[in-house]
Amino acid sequence: MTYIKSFFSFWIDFIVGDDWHIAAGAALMLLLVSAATYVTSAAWALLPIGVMLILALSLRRAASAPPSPALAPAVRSTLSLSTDSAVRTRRDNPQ
Amino acid sequence: MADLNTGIAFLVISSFLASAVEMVEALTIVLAVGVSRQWRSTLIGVATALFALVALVAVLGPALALIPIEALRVIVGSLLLIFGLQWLRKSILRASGQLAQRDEAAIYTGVLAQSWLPTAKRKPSMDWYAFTLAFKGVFLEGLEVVFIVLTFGANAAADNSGSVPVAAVGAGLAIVLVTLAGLLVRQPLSRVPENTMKFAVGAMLTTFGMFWGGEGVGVVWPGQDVAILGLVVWVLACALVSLNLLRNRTHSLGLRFVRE
Repeated sequence: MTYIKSFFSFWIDFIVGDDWHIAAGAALMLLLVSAATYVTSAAWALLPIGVMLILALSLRRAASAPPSPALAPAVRSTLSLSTDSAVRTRRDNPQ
Repeated sequence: MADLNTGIAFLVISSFLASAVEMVEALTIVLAVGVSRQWRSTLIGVATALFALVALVAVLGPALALIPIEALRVIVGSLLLIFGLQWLRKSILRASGQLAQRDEAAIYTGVLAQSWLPTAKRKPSMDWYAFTLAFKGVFLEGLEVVFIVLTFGANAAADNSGSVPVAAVGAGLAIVLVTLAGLLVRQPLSRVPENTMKFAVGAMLTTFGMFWGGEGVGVVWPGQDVAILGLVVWVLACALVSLNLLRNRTHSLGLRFVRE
């Protein structure tokens, strides 16, 4: 049973990937466009806009998340050096 | 004829780039395992994984051809769209500094340290640990390539603009090239612009995912196949704008701390 569960879990992880919102959004988008094709011949326009919206929202969510240990070394060292500088500045100029 | 050549070119290039990126990642694992354990078992693991992947393509390729074309387009289009967006997302986050760039040298060192076996303890018989690591590394990295080869190839076959074997040729060329490079260099291919390649492949997969998925659900694209060019320009433009916005955000966070 554990083997079957692991097997399905692997394939779901493989297809869905890091952000399940992308998979859900893509499926929803295709459904919406499918429905729209019955109403208008310009339904094609919904796909490019919708798909880029899905990407933008996913990127926004990732960027809003707290910094992870996987942050690029250059950024991590810049942030830590900068924070030290800010603390020293505040200590020297209390307002 | 021009449409057919363009279609085949896109097919081969997409399969080639996707395969090259995944094989560079697999090469790092194979090199580390081979150096730290035993080459014979490692190479048997690699060969077994490649055989399993080829078998998967050989079995699933013809099976996909049995699916009605509209359903095939929806399934394939959805999968390509999901994979493409995932690859685009990751490559944009890495390029903007939100995620660390993949460091093949660091991964190589990590796997080397983790699997190191002292020379005195290495035996000439089968090293199942080395076999398993090499098999898993190549098989898992190759699975995404198989998906891309099958989905691209199957749709191209339905459109009479290519086929699964043609897509497999692109992937095969990449495997040969990366293997030769690995044999020459004998270390992880750290200088390959993996993230840029992933960005390009992500954009192509997203474009074709939208195009074929859209066709599958009844969309009539203006200009038919010419719409693909418009879509790829749109995807690249949006992705580059997102990348710049994220980069500016990353830098401004650092700058804000400095200014305070």
